[in-house]
Amino acid sequence: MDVTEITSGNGLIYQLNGRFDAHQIPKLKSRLEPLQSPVTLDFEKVNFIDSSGLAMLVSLYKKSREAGFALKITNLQDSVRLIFEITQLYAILPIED
Amino acid sequence: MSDIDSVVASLAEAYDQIVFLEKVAAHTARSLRPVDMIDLIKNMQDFIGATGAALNLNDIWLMPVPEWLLKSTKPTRSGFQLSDNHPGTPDSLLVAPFEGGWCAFWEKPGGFSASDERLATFVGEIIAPTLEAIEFRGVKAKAALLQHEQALAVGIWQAVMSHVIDDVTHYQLEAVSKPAKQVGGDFHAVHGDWVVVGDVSGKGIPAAVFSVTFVPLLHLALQMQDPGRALEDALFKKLESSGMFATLVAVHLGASGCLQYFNMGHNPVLVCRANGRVESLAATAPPLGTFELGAYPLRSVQLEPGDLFCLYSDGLTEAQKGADDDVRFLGEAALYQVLSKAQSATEVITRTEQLLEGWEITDDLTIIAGQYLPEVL
Repeated sequence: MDVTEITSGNGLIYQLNGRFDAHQIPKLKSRLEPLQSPVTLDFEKVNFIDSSGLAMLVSLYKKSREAGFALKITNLQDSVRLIFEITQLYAILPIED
Repeated sequence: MSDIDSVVASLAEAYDQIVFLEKVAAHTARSLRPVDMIDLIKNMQDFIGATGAALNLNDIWLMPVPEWLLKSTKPTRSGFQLSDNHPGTPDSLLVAPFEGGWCAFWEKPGGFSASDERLATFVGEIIAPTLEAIEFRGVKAKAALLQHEQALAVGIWQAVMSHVIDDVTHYQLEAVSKPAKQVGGDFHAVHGDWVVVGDVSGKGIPAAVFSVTFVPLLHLALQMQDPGRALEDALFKKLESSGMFATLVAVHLGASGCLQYFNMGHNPVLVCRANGRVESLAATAPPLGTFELGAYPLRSVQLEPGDLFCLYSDGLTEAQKGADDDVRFLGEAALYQVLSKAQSATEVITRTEQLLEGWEITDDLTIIAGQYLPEVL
């Protein structure tokens, strides 16, 4: 997965590209944590997310709440949105779709 | 001494050295432990006639050493003195460093010769690779032990995750389960009238540690008034602190055809009616280990005789073809087709396995198909 970091007025935007799966977790965690500012994860080019990826997002969301920084997940592809919906996490995680 | 006597003496010394080196070579070939290295140093000590000898491997002296040697640092090259001359250091001294250690010999009547130094250097040079070989054998032994322990763990996991399931009164059940690796995060169980399929996030051993925990826990939790709450009490914190979660769907098969269920973020239960219409019973809660709800009320649907149902893990719907940007997933619609054409639970499994031919299964895969047959069973 490729990750592009963009600084915006509302914190950092990470444009993710590729599969969001177990193999990407260590690299992503080292890029995103600890949270130092509001973060937006742009999923426009993410075509798959597995359970390890979902677990990491849940953990990141909880850490963002503890740290007091907003986390946003945006631009879901249909296949990825379906996985969030099946797991009931679509209604809980901060998804702006 | 005449020239001839001198030549004869030199030849005798060279012969003795050859004999000694033959012994060293044979000894080294048999050396398996550090104690063999100590024997080698003692043989060398006897051969050159030193009063004392010591061997240091990885900064540890393997033989009793005098105080002055204990305080000395490893020399950078072989020779007849140390850079740090502590009180008590004998005048007659021979030291030889090598990769991973050094050796010292002291107090030889008449003093050490250049030929003694060459021998000490040689012995050091053969100890170094032998030491490396001993360490390598240690690594290999540990790897073999780890492999043995992993095989035991796989055996335990497979014993707990029995693929054989019993039918429930008035229901025929069929199951198939294939972990992506030797062990996996998928689990399934039939306890009394309950049928459960679950999936711990991740793959391999980390996921298997939790999946093997679920099966005995389910047996207890399903006897509680609110099984979902019982599982939450038992496992939520442990999963959360491990950065993992589990999806799980549990269905209670009533003798009258009433199917009750709760679903923690798992794939929906599919119910296929006699006319081929498929209903999807979506999750009723988020995955266990993500967000606590405190209560997990059951929902229910009424089955008619002959109705089929199917519980499955995402390894089925996420079977894929292609790669990268061109990847295509099997999806749920294909399973609808299978269910609508099948006449029995056995046929659901058979048709699904046929469907999967040519698809790559990248995750643990579990399917349990069932049919309500009150007249037959």
